[in-house]
Amino acid sequence: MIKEEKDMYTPVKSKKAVSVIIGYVLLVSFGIVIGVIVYQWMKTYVPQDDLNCPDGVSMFIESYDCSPNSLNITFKNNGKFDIGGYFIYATNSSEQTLATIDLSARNTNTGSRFGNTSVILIGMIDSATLNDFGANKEETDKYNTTGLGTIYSVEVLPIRWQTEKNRVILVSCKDAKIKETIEC
Amino acid sequence: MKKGMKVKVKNKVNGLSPVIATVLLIVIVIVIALIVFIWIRGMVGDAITKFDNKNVQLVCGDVAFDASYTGGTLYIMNSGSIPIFGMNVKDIEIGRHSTFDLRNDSDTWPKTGLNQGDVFSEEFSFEGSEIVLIPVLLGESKKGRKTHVCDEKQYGYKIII
Repeated sequence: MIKEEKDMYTPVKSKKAVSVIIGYVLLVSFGIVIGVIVYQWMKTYVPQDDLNCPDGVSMFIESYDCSPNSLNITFKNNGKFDIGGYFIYATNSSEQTLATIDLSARNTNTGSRFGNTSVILIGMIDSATLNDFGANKEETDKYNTTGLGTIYSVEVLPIRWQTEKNRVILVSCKDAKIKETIEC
Repeated sequence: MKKGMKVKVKNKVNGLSPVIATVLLIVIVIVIALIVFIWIRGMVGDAITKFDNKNVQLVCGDVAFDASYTGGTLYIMNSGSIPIFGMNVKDIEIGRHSTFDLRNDSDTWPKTGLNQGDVFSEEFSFEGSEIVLIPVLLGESKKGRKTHVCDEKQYGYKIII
C-alpha cells in the first residue's frame, strides 16, 4: 500500500511533452504568419503621399485689358516653382459665385506657350520640360469673348506636371487658385 | 468501508499524449481563427482601390471641389487632382430628405465623371433648405470596377439654399 501511494505522487520522468524551444518557435511563427495575413488584408488602408502641388506654387493676374470681343490677360508666375498651365473660367453674371465659362478654348494668342488649351499638352517624358511657365515669367493670352456678354470675374487654377512613381501626372494646385473681379 | 478491505488505485490511466493534445489545441485555434477571419472579411467586403492600391476611402480625403447654388443653377468645379465619377445630391428639408445621383438625374453630367478642372452646371429646383453634395469615386476591386460613395459626414459639401 505504501509503495503504491508513493508511485501515485512521484512525477513520471519518462513522459516528454513539446520542448520549450519548439513552443517558442511555434509562437513566433504564428505571430509572423498572422502579421503577414493582417498586413495583406489591410495594406490598402496604409496612407500614401497625396497628389499635391508644392506649397510655393503661385501665379497672379498682373494686368488685364478688355475690348468689345476680347479679353487680354497677363499672368505672372510669382511662385518658386514652374507651372505647366492653368484652367481658366469666367462668369457673365454678377450673382454667379463660381466661374463656369471655360475660356481655355477661346485663347486666340497664336504665340501662347499653352496653345489654345491653357495647358501644355503632354508629349514629352520629362516633367521638368512640361512645366514651361517658369518662375518670374510672364504670359499674355488673348481670349475671344464673343457671345459671352459682360465678364464679371475670372478664376484661374494653376496645374503642374509631376512625376509620381515613374509616371507623369497632372496635378491641380487648388491652394494656388485665384479669383479676380474684372469689369469688362 | 469494511476493515481489511483493500483500496485499488489504478496507475495506468490512458489519455491523450501531451503532443497530440498540443497539436489538437493548435489546430482548433487555427480553424477558429480562419472562421473568424472569413466571417469578418465577408462583413467588411472587398477593398476598392484607386491609384496604386490606395483604398478609395482614403482617396475620398484627397477629393477637392467647389460648388455653389445661385439663381436656380447648381455649379460644381473639380479643383482637385482626383476625378469625381458621380455626385450624390441630398436635398434636406425639415422632417425628411431625399438623395439623387447626378449621373442618373442630370443630362449634362459627363459620363466619364468630372475630371480635373472640369466644371458642371445645370438648373435644379430643391424643396429643402440645404443640400449636401457627396462625391462618388470609381475604383478597382477583385470583382472589377466599383463605385464608392464617400462618407457624407466627413466629405459632404453643404450648401445652404
